[in-house]
Amino acid sequence: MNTIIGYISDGKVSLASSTASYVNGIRRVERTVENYPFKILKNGIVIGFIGDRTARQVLFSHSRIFKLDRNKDLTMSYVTGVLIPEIHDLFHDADVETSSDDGLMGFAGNIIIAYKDKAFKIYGDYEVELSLQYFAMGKFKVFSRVYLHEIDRHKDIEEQLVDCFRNACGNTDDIQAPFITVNTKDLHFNIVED
Amino acid sequence: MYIALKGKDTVYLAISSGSELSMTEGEALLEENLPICIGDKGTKSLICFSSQTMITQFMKYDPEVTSKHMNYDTVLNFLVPYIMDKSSEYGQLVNNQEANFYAVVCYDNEIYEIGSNGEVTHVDSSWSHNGEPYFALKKVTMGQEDPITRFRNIFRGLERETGRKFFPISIYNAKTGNRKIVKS
Repeated sequence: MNTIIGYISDGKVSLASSTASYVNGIRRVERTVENYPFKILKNGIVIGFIGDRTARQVLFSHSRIFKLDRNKDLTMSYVTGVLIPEIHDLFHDADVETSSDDGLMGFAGNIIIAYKDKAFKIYGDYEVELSLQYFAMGKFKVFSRVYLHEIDRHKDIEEQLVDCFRNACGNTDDIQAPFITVNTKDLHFNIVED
Repeated sequence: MYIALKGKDTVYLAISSGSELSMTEGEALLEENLPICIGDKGTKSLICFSSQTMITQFMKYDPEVTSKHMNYDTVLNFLVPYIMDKSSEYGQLVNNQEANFYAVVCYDNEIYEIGSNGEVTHVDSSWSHNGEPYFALKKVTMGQEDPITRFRNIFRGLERETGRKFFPISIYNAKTGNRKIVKS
């Protein structure tokens, strides 16, 4: 659970990650929805988190903060002006913020907020980036982005996202099946076991 | 890489999107992702940050900031405290002391630099952010060329000198807030 990749096309954001990871050298596979790196919200927002497990649990268990703006949309203005202060307060109050060597505070992870055809990446220092087409976050984003660049939007995107991870497996043992995909249109999880 | 040059009656600010490692080239060019805050129509102010993008993001969508007509007084007595407060609130003060940023505010035909300790400097000619190899740029002026040609030449020179990729660049006119993208 260390990398999230995504692709925006045909009015939706498709996301993929792995449900397998190594914790203290032991391979662990997440089999329950509560432990997945994504959460589907009733209002159509999909949130994703990679990084510190406690921070993810805090965020996912308070996912009611992820509301849409008054126009039933998500904009950069709303994410930076409303959601970021909420997320900051949440992590601060839950004491899951971390400090770097020079004293800068943040959280240990990356968040993705996807709604319809928009995807916002939020980094550990609360910096927000709006994605244009393809994106990757996390430890192995470099490997994954090479393959994301080659995606053919006429083929099944989620299959291709999983293929990106399969290709990235050649570069690291830390990306492993089962893979998980979700998109902002169908709003359900798909697990690919091999 | 950020460079501000004074023109005849306005300041031009160029931001390079070519060296962004975390984003694709297209993402780095999106107005939403650029570390620049443009004042509302009539306020004639551009605020650019060379680091600490997150503080810029607060500013660019905060009417309290974008509605202010920036001048030396408002930079000193409003903007600097605002930046320091936000940095402190979000734990972004280096060693709990200095804000992790370098900013430039351009309005009318003036440039003000805000240092990481909150010090405000009235820049007399041109400005570039604090990259050691680019200190020579302090001597660069707009000259007689049009701003696009001038910046294109500067960034081409930098690419030759450093081997880094600076294009595409966005050139802002501080008076109008308009942007032009120069791809090569």
